[in-house]
Amino acid sequence: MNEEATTRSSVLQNYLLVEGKDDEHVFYSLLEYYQVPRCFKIKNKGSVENVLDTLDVELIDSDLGRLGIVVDADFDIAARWQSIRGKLIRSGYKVPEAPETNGTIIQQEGQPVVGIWLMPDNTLPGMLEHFVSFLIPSEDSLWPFAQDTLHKVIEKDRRFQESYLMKAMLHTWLAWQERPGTPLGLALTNRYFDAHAPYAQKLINWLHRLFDIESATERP
Amino acid sequence: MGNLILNTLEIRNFRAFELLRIEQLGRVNLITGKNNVGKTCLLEALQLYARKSSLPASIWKIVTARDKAKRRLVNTGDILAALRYLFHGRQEMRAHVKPIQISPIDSPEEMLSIAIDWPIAKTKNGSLHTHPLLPGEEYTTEHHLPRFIIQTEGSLFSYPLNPSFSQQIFRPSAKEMNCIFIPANGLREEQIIELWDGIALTNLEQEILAALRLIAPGVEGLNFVGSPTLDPGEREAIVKIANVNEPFPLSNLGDGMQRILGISLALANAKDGMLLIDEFENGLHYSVQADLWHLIFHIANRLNVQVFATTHNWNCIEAFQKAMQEAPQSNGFLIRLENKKGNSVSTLFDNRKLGIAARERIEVR
Repeated sequence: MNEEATTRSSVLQNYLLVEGKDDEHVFYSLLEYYQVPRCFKIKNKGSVENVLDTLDVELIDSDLGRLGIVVDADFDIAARWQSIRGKLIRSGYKVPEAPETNGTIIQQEGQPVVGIWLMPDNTLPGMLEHFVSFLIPSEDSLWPFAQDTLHKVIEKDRRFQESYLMKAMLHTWLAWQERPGTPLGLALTNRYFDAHAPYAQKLINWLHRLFDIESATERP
Repeated sequence: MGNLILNTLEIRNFRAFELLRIEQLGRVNLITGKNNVGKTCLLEALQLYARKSSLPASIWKIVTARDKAKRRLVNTGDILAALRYLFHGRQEMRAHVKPIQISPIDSPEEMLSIAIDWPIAKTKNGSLHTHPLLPGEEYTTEHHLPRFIIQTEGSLFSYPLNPSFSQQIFRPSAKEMNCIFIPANGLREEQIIELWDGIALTNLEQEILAALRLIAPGVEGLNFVGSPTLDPGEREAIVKIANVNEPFPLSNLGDGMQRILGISLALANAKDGMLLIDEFENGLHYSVQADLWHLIFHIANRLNVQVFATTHNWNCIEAFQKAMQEAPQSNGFLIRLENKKGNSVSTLFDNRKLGIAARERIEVR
């Protein structure tokens, strides 16, 4: 018997599933800012489709303790919620009809705790960029200008889909910062954004509740 | 492709399992899980189910197989003590202990049930009548010795609790199903010879040679022969290797060859039945395991065999995963057994889930 291949730790692992690299880095930056202890791993799933297609298998990972899912609400928040909800129900969870505004957390006897956060804020349609735009300091003078500029691009010249408008505005605004072209996560670390904004606090609170961070860090 | 013997499985009150349900089974099933979750118990339950027409002999086979001291079971006290381990919770054997039940899920008509009961003897009109102990009736030493109460395919049978009592359930229509169990340390030499004799000079010989060639590509022929150095009547496996004039003993080719020979011979002899392999990976290097799984899928399909193997080895699971991915039509399952707060839980990975687990680095063990 190959001992090396058979022994493994029995410590449960917590995971936060995100749909892309930007999400991953925005989280790293926020965790750093809020000094959140690393009691979970961030798993970049590459796309929202992959998050959804592999969710049933992620849930039966034998080492899984708690699982967080962060995906964009996109155009139709109700439809996105229903597709996640359906998958969780098939995996044996009781799931509320609508997402909770402070982030959903489902505790079910005998199953890993599951949390869902729909970007930007569990209420509005949109994506990661909408969430990050909420962290632009309110007195910022360039932001209205960036929005206005993008709205002025006439349809004939617009090369992006309507759904990418916020992304375009945000990256336009980022192009006008001290170091143009800084990616989202780094821009957050560089304080172009206000990581202390209420939206960010709400997200961090959800993480604390989901991963039970207080009691996880109290242990010796 | 034939039908599977079991599409689902439910086991009650057997060894580690108070209740175990497996919602789906495939042609080839690999069972994994930590120590003491009941991987070997599951194979034992399957043996009982497959050999239900030769009960109670197959019960004693299982009871004695685990007893390394090979104790002789003579008096009732020893016999009951040995049987404790067969029933869930190792409780003391007394009247109305919950019966062992093995069946497909929700199929009482196909259920095998094994109970122990104390018949009560009463003299009535000058002759002796017995009936099983009724609820509320107390067993006393004046009563008869306990007996097996076995229910299978709708009929009820009662047998003395006596390991040397070898009479089997007699049903004219009953045909014993092929069921071969390969223990973790392999089949005994005489079993291997018996299996070889079962397929010698049939075209299944080619499948055995193909299996041996996974390790030694030059193998051209296999036979079992006596020799002056063996006891009279004993035979050993010899192989002919390409470009080597003299045949030589297969045992010279290592443990892996023995394991592959045992597995392939057992499979070839299990037509329309079950093959059970405990600790599949024993003796096998990782590099041959995926190819061996391919061969197992192929022969199992051809001969309509349902295969159950256990492992706690990551390489073995990986090889199974690989074989499944390379043949998307394979009807195989990885089944993880766990004990969650005293309950036995099974988790299934079909081909799709195994593929995702491999790609997304999801722990399946």
